Parts: sequence; structure tokens; C-alpha cells
Amino acid sequence: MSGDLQRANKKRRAICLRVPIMVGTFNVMEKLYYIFAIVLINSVHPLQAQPEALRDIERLNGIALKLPEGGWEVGFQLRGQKLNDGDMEAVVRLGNIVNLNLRDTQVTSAGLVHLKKLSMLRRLHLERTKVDDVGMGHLTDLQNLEYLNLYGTKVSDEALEHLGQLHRLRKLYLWQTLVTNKGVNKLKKVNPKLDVSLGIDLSTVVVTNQKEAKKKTDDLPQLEWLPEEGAKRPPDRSYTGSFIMVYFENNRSKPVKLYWINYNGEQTYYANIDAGQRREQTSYSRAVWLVTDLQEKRLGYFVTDQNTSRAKIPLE
Amino acid sequence: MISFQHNRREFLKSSIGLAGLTLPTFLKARAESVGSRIPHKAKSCIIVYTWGGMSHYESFDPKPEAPADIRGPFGNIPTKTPGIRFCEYLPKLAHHSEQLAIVRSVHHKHGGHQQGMYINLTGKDPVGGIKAKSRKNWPSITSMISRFHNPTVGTPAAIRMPYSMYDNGTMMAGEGAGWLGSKYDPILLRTPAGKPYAGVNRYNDRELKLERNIEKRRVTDRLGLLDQLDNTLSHTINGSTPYERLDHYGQMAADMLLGSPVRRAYELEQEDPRIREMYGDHIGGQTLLLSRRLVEAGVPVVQALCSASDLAGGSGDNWDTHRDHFPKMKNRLLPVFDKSVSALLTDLEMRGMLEETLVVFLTDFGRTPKVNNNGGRDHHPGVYSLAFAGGGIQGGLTYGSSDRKGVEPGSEACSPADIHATVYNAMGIDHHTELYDQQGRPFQICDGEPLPII
Repeated sequence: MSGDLQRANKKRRAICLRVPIMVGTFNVMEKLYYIFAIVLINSVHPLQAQPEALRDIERLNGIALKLPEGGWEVGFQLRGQKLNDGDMEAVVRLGNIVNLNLRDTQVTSAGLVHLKKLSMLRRLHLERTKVDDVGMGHLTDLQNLEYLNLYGTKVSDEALEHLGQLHRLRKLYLWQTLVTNKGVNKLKKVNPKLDVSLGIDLSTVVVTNQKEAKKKTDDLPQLEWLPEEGAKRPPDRSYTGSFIMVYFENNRSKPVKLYWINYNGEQTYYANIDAGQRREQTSYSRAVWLVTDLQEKRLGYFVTDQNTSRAKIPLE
Repeated sequence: MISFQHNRREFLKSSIGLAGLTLPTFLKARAESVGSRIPHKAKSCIIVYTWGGMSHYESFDPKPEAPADIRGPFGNIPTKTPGIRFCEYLPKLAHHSEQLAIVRSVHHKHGGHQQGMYINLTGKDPVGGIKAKSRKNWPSITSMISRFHNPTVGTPAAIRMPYSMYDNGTMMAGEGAGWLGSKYDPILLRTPAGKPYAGVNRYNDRELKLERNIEKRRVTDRLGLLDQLDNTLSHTINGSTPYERLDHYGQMAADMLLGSPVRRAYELEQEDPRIREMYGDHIGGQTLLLSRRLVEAGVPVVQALCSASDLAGGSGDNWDTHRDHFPKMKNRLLPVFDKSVSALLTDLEMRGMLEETLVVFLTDFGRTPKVNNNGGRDHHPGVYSLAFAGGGIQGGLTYGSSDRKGVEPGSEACSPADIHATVYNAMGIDHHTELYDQQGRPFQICDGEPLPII
């Protein structure tokens, strides 16, 4: 308790002693009001601790929300990632916390000791923190816990042994942890109503190699460059056609702007292409593409045909 | 504190004051932002919009028993849920049927894109001529949700990506906050990665507004913002930043509005490449990936347009398939939708986010039973399918049905307003709530009734 509160309580207790002296000067109704007020003030009202706990949570960049069904929801996952084990004592002082989100914070298993007081806790987020099997042992008192998120932590089957004691647990998230199917099956036998999510095995996902894709474009046919001052003119608009890809390459020393000439003959801006860069562009056959410099001066055109092609913008 | 220099009356007043509570101001602000007393699971919402009108036949409501000229050449496949079948080109989504609630009996009376999109996105019948960005429009569901779910300072309350909806060059009405006021206009963000949808995609509209979601109560915040302003004014647009499409005012706005968790979410390069691969390298997938990241960063509602931006006579990758409907669905539209939506559902589920994130699928209308002479299907508002996932919605079910030929509702007909009422309730918003516009006129936010699927 802070010093201010202690001093205030001392004062209030001192007043209580003076009641017998004062009472004689009041009428009955006023006496009753006076005694009522003294009794109320004298008890350290539980809600008096709350504004302080809320101030602490705000100071630690957490968010506290009163839930319509009663209780508090407290979260540090958005801006309170610096929260550590030392801060936990202040956090739990709020009392009736029903949902607690510690995702991405610096809390470890040691900090979870303080959660024992939160007997009303129903949802706990610990994903992407450094908690481990030891920490799970500290959660066994939380008999109202329904949801526990541990994805991205180092918990293993040993943690699941502890979690078997949480009889109300219904949702458990274990993606990217060290648990095995054996441990999970064992836990499900202890708590058949529990739904465990292991997520996907990312090692089965193959990232397509983009460098390989680039090499393939070297074999593509090339579209003819129609310079602005040239004799050969492009059509004045695009015509509908079949789907193709165009790989534009800016071989000039400065960036260019790419426009599509639409079906009404109007310019539609698509992109800038930096010097030396390429752009993968979806298009259709019989489309007209205009290339300008950054000052909108027209440089030239490409007209697509039904092949996926390269479009090399030549050096000036 | 109590002082016995006061007379009796003043003492009583001050003592009752001590027994009373003084909530800190920030808590009061939070209490006001929770506009409802309904206990609810969903804290965030992702709206997936398929612009142009997604055929119900070739998605969630195949009709194997209809005559061949109605059911089309595609087959259908079983899903993980016995009794529910999808179009054969949604194989990945078929595995997620237990997470999905499909509503097969939605209908309305509007055959045009503007009206169809307006009634689906706002829940209201368009009356008379409606114009984009008008303050007389009804707010979109995205805006309305953000009216009730207020995030922390510096975080946008509603985001839509990656561009506005257009039809042949005309911007559509219904994506903004209308009479709710500009404060609730969703912020338009461009998805910074992914192969674009073929056809016309309009990245040019600059909708970022400067004065949004900035509560000016903290001097330190304001100074921080001014610092950022100074920095961004010295930037020139060289094309290599994610903001390359914005002029410098837009860039300023983006810097001011994107507080650090949201800015980090926007940087898709920070995501595990295998997760990016799971969503696919198409902008449809990367938009849904970005939606998940934004929700994780505290944005309450995100609208993701999974289509080319301008219908442009149906010649691009939008769902308005009046010609060559079957090759287009099979080769270009359904594979992207299947891969990216399944990735989103997998991703939300394994991170433990699915029960708190409501995903809603909206479209303008369905498509006609009879295939036309160009191998396409035309507009059909008579009956179509929409869907929900997560956010406390019961999965593994269908609500309502269309008739044997997919022409009109067969059972439990419902309207887009009913879909909206369901969303509001799942988000803890009472659909009978009355709000006031800027002239002080009261409006009930929704005319429908929630479906019994929560």
C-alpha cells in the first residue's frame, strides 16, 4: 500500500475514536449519517485499491477494460511489451481479472507466480513469451481457466502434465512449441473436453524460389518498343483480349512512369519503375502501354500480343 | 481530507465524497467506448468482399440436381462436414467447413452493382440516386463497427484495403461512414505486396485523412506526432517506400495515423516467408495476411476487397463474370480465394485468434441460373450465399437453403440486414441501438434480426 493511503487510513481510524465526543451535539438522523459515513470510510473499501492498480497498468502501457458481464480484461500485447516479472505484482493488484493478455511481453515463468491470486481468470495469453514448463506449474490454482494460449513458447510435454489439473480448460494453443503428439494425447485422456490446436508444421511449406522465376523470363519473346517520335504509331486505345503477363524492364538511368491506355483511350497510371528495375505486370493481349519520364514526357509505347512477354525500355 | 473546522453539513458532504469513487479519466473514456452490455466473443472483424457478385453455384451452393444448363460443368466435393458440399474448385476451404457457417438463403431486389453492393455493405436499401462519399449515405458496416469498438490512441479504428470499388470509372457509394461523419470513414490502405488482380485496379484515390483517431489529451503524444511531421516533410517520393503512391500529405497522414503496432503490422517483410507462402503471392492472399496482422495489432475492423478494383465491363479478375465465367472461376478467381481464405482461417485458428475474430463474407448478389450465350452468368439477387467464420459463430453448418435450381430462397429466407444484425450481435453491439447524425436525428443502426448461429 502506498504511503498516502496509509496516512489516510491512520487519519480515519483516529476520527473513529472521536465519535463518542461528537455524537452528543447531533440529532438522531445526523448521528446515523455520521456513523454510516465513518464506518464506510474506515473499512478499506476494496474499490479504493483499484484506481491505483489501474494507474499502474496504464503506466506500464497496458489497457484495462471493464467487461459487461463483470470483471476486468487487461492486455499488454499492443504497447506493453516491456512488461517484466517485476511488474506482475502491481498488475495482479487489480483483483478480479478475467482475461489477461501477456503476448510478446518479457514475462517469464518466475512472473507467473503472481497469477495465483487471480482465481477468477478465464483466459490467459502467454504466446510468444519466454515462459516454460516451470511456469505451468504456477497455473494449477487457476481452476476457472478456460483458454490458454502458449504458441511460440518453449513448453514441452512436461508442461502438459501440470495443465492436466485445470479441469475447466477447454481451449489450448500449442503451435510452435516443443510438445509431442504423445503428450497431447495423454492430456486429452485426462481432459476429454479439451480442444488442443497444434497448428501447421511450417517445415512442410516450401517457399517458391523467386530467383528461379526471374531466370525464366530471359527466354520470353520481347515486345517491340515504339518510341514517341517514331514512325510506327500504337493504336489509340486498348482492345479486350486474353490474359497475359508483361515483364517491364527499365534500362534507362532514371525512373519512368507506366500508364495503361484504357478502352476509351485514356491514360491510367499504374506504377513507377526505378532505373534498372523490372516490374511484373498483369495485362491482356491487344493492350497499349505508355512509358513516360517523371515529368510526364512521353517516351514510347508497347502493344501486347497474346504471349507473355518482356518489354525492355531502352537506354536513352 | 476530513477537517473539523467545517460545519456539520460540509463535513457530511466531504465524507460521502471520500466514500465515493473517482475513476481515473482514462478509464471513463474506455467505459464510454464500450457501447453495449451484450457479452460477446468477437473483438475484431474482418470483412471479405468479393466485388462483382460471386456465383453461389460455383462456390458455397452447388446444385448437382439441377438440369445441366443451370448447374454448369463443375462438379462438387464433400467437405469435412457431412451433408455440406462445396464447388469442386474450393478444395482447401472444404477442409475448413467446420469453422464456417454458410447462409444460402440471402436475397434482395437490386440487380445493379451499385445497389447490390450498397445493400450488402450498409444493410440498407439504396433510396434514390446515391453518390460516393456523400454524407447522406448510410454508413458501411465497417464504419459502424468502428463507431462501437474504439482502439487505443494512434491506432486506426477501421481500415479497408487495397482500393475502393469502381464500376466503369465510377466510384461506388457505400464504403464510407456517411451520416456517421468523417471520423468513422475507414482508412484506405494499399496492400504493399502481391501479384495484382488482372484488369483495372485503381490505386489512385487518396483517402487518408489527417484528423482521425487522434485523441489530443497527451502533450507528449502531440509532440511525438510533430516530430514525425518534421521528418516526413523532408522525405521525397522516390518509389521505394510502401507509401510510394501517396503525395506528401498522404504520407504525413500515414505516419501520424499508423502508430507503431500498426506500422509494424504493415511491414509484410517481417512475416515468416513460409506464412506468406501459405497465403500465396497474390495480392488477394497478401491482403488477408495483412488483415490478420492489423487485427493482431489492435485494429478492430478491417475490410479486404478480394477482387480487381474496377468492374470495367467484367474483363478483369472481378466476380462479374458475364462472359467466360467457368474458365475464369476455375483458373483465376476460385484458386486465389480458396488458398487465401483457407490460409486466413488456419492462421487465425492456430494463433488462438479465431474465436475473437469474426470473418464475414459479403458480395453484391449471386449469378443467374441459366448460363448465357457468352458462357457467363448474369446478376441474380434472387438468392445467393454469404458466410461467417470465427467470432463465436457456430461452424460446420448451413443456415437456410435456396430452391432446387438456385433461383430463390427455399427455406429461412433472410436479407443483408439480417446478416448485419448477426455481425453486430457477435461483436457485442445491440442491433436496435439508436445513433444520431450530425443534425441530431435518430437512426436505428440495423433493420434486420440476427440469425440463430451465434
